[in-house]
Amino acid sequence: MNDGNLHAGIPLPPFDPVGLPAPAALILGLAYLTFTLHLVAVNFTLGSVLLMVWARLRPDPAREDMARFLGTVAPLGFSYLVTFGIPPLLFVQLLYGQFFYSSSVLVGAFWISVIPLLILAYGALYAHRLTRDGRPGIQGPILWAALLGMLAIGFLYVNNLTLAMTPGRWIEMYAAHPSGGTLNLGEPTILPRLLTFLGLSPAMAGVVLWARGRRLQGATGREAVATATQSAGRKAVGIGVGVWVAGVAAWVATLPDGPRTLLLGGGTWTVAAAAAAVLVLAALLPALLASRGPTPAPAVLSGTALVLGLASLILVRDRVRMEYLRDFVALPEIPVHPQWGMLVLFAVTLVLGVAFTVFWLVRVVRRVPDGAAPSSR
Amino acid sequence: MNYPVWDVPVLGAGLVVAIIAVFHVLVSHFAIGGGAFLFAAEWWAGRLVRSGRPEDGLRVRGFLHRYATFFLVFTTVFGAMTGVGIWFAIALASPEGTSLLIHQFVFAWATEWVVFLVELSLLYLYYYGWKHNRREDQVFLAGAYFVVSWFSLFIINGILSFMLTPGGWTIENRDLAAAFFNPSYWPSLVLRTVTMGLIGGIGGILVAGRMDPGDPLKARVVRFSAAFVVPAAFLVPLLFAWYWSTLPEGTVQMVQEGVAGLGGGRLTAITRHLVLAGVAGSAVMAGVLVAVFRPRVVTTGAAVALLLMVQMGLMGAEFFREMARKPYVLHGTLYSNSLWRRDVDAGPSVLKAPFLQRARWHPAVEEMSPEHGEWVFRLQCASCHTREGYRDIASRTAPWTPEFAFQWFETMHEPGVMPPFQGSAEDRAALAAWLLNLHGRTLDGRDVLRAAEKAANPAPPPAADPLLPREAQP
Amino acid sequence: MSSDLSPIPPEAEPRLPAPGSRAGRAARWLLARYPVWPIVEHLAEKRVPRHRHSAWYAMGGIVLFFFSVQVVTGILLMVYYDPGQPWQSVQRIVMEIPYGALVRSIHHWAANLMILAIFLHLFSTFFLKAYRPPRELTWVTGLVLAGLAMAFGFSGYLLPWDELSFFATRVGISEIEKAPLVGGFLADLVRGGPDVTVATINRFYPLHVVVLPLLILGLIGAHLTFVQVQGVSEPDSFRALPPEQRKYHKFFGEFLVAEIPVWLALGVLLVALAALAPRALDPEANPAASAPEGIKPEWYFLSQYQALKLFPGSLELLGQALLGLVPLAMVAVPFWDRSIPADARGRLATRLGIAGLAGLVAMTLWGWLS
Repeated sequence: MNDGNLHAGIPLPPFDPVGLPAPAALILGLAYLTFTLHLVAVNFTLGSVLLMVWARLRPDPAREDMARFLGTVAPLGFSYLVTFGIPPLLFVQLLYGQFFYSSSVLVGAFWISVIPLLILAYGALYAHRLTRDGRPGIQGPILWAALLGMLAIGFLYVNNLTLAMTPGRWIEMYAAHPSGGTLNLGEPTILPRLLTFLGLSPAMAGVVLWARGRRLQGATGREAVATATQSAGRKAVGIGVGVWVAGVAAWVATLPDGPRTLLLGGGTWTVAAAAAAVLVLAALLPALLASRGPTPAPAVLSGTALVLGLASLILVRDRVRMEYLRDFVALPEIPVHPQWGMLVLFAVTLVLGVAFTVFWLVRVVRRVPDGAAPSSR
Repeated sequence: MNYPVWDVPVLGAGLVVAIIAVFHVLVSHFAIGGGAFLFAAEWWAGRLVRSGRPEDGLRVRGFLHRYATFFLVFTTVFGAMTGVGIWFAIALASPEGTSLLIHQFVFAWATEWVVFLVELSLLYLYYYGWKHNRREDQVFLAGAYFVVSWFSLFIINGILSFMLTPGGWTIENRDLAAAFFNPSYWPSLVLRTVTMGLIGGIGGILVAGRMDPGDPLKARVVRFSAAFVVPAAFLVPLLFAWYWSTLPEGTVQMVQEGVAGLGGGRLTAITRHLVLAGVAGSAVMAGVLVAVFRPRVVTTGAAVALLLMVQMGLMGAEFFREMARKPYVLHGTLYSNSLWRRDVDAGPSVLKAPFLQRARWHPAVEEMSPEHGEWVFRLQCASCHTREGYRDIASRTAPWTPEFAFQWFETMHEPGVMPPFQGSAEDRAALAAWLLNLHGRTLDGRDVLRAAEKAANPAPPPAADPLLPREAQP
Repeated sequence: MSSDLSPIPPEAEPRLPAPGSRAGRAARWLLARYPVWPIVEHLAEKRVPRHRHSAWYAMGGIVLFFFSVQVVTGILLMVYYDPGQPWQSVQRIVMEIPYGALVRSIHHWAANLMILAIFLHLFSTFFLKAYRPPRELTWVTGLVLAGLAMAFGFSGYLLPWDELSFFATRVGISEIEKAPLVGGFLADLVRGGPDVTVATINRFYPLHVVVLPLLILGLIGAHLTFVQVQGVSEPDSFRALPPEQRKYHKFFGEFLVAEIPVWLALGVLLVALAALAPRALDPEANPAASAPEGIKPEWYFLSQYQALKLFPGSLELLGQALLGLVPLAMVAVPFWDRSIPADARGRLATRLGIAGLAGLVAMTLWGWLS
């Protein structure tokens, strides 16, 4: 398994000589957890941008209020989506480095352009926020720059990571484009796969708007805004779930036989895939049924279902990857040289760090008056 | 040797890394030193208020808010993104080296990530809580931000310095403690910490530059900021001397030989960049002293000039550090072109085996054809050299003859800045033919082999040491 | 006691350092011998208007900074340069002399950046309309200085005597040769014969290190004196402001001090460029060899070179005549566009200037890419 020469014509690099610093299952668990957080932040931020674009179409006071709120939190969302993106990328390099590094070089020129795109999109979100009172004229183009930048990044990620799963294509691509000026465009699953990751965006931003609308309901003089915000949020949940379901169906349909059989064959992974779908669909129930009221509980319920659904999808997606790569790698066979001390250090830092941050978060948020968007002044 | 080589025209993969990294080094050091500045300025504002000058305190806080806005956007948008950018770029430029670092240090990196997450969150709580937070909480948050962010340096410095001075670590023992607390760890940590303070102060001058010359606060802010820069600028050379004492012998020799002109030096670029760092440091010092004596005249242009000097100095220092590792990406273990040192130690059975069979990342090519030579170049040389761009191969080989080239590959590693050639006589001949064809010849490997045989006694070099860059070629 | 010493003007007293201090004594000692207080006062009052285009006022100082770098590095290079063995001595500079390659690279980069700064200075002066009366002679001396700087570049470029410098110089002089009537004579005069040889170096070297420096120092003196006497020009938009809105920097003590960090940064930039892109020394020139492909003049001659290519064959004379009109027209501008605030002529001059700048940039790029 460690010798690429076993696969005639496929120049698969051997596994890293240092081996794994912890059992693969543990690393996978950490990867799933952090990737879920990453996707939640991605969907929230992208959804916020989409809803801001929507709010600009026919501006009214309620929509302006929503856009103002989303415009304030979107840069923060972006910051956390990048930060939560780091550990899963670290762990994918740890476990699947042979595949990931190879495919990255093959699309290198495009892959490195993720960085300027990140700066563009993130910078645009801050520019959007800092110019909203002074120069409203350029807000539209800035927002579109952020939106297109984010979509392009998602596309490039799916492109590279699907190429990492199909080593059979590598040598031909490299011979034709040694500078990495090509993309894995022959892969039929790319767009559906992108939808499985991003389809829930409107829903994820929608639940937050919805929760905000319910909180606003108590504030005097803002009833109209509260009602409009709630209704917009609930609609966004519905739209997001719809797009996601369609994306997942298309993804399953375009998968190669092996992975598709795995998902449709009736075994454990059929159940897991079904669970993901059921959880996401369950997010619709509170949106359809909840009565109006000041507590954010129904939105939280809906949001929880969405997050759990995404988490299940992440499990399924990794199992599909293993199915793709079953001829090339089996994670349990990789030599492990455990660094337990470092693992403990990491775990302790994580617990202390999160506790410290949450303590201060609560302390700061408690002082912010209800209904106000966080502000710097 | 196991991964494809990212063959970037004109720039080369290494320069792509450098372009991102040089900028990141400025911003990331600012992200920590600026934290110390925020904390100190918060404390200063608080002291003004307590000592019965609340209006001055408010004005300092007004300045501080401008500083914090600049700091937040600059460090999170450019600093954090270029940090990810370095990671992307090194994975493309040296997948094997990146993989090794990640497999060895993944939990160190994961811990650094936690630190970064906390640091980022504290910054947001500080900035977005500006209006509602209690002042003593703001002081605490700024201080906590600084301390936490400094720990991210504490961690990443272990990995960075490891690449140059791995100390007692070997690929067999995988000794994490030896790797992390390696010989240059402590001097490097202190040197970078002091540099951070310097950059934080420059940030203060930059924001003060935008203040009106009539504003009485301007002079005080400039001098407050300069207090971060001047002591640091004095300390940096001393700390560098300590750092210097931990460097590998070969590096020290390389730099010294570079001073004595190009002819005696093997790699003058490293010396030139060290000189750049020194000149920039002195110029920053001089510029800041001007600001100290005439604080009211500091304009945005003057402050930007200071920042650019710092940026160029950091460029010199980081280029120096990168070149100091030559010819390795991980000193003593993995060469810059992903050749493993242990494969060299294994002897000719590995090193002189037909190269393309070992490399595998290539299409089928005719033996000793120019294409064969080009793939040898791409998989063995293109990690560092471009054809006609940065560290170009064309000008370096301009005076070569076939027999000289064929012979030279055998000894190119001896001066210690390049890895040994991998491959058989046929590989050498094919590469020589392809290189000479860059200058308008139409050779293939067989022509080169014939020429080499004819020159039974290898001719003396037609040029001075062909390792030398173009400016030194006769 | 001698009565030939001048009395200290009473208006100077309050502004001099205390009489007891060392600086005060020195100042009075000097003023008694050189009664220049009116000049000192004039300079002390010199001020620079503050407006959104103020940054352009720094360009002249930047040119002067690069020029000083050229003087210092040029003297250092002269120590080891030998016109009898031009290429060998330059090779020795870059290969044996400590930091010789660095100094040579800085000299190269400072030369290029100085010419670039001159262009920026020239065009910013033009578009701020600072050439109008009474500053005609400042403008004209500035133009001559620009020409001298280019002559510096042309004469210095040959000195290393490597392939590139040799052939580029040969191409350049052959353009001179095409000029009507005097072309052949001029070309032979600068070459010291019918072709570029070591004899050419024997002419270019004294030109580069003696003749041009003397000329340029004298003219810089005149140019700066004009500026000091007349003060910095104020653009129309600034003059139109009510007096209380017109803000100034003091020239000495404020404007000049704020420029110091900029000069320092440019100095560091020179070292950075020398580190990243050191000046190469190509193989020694071989006049018998055929010119390598793609030999072109330096970038600041490229636009003229490319423009002449537009006039092939018998049209060449026309091209040279038109090209020769450009400097004449530039000299004529202040005598034609005189009105403050700008009138129709002034607006036309600006438009022509924009067209000229666009043409210069386009021709240079075209020449560079072709």
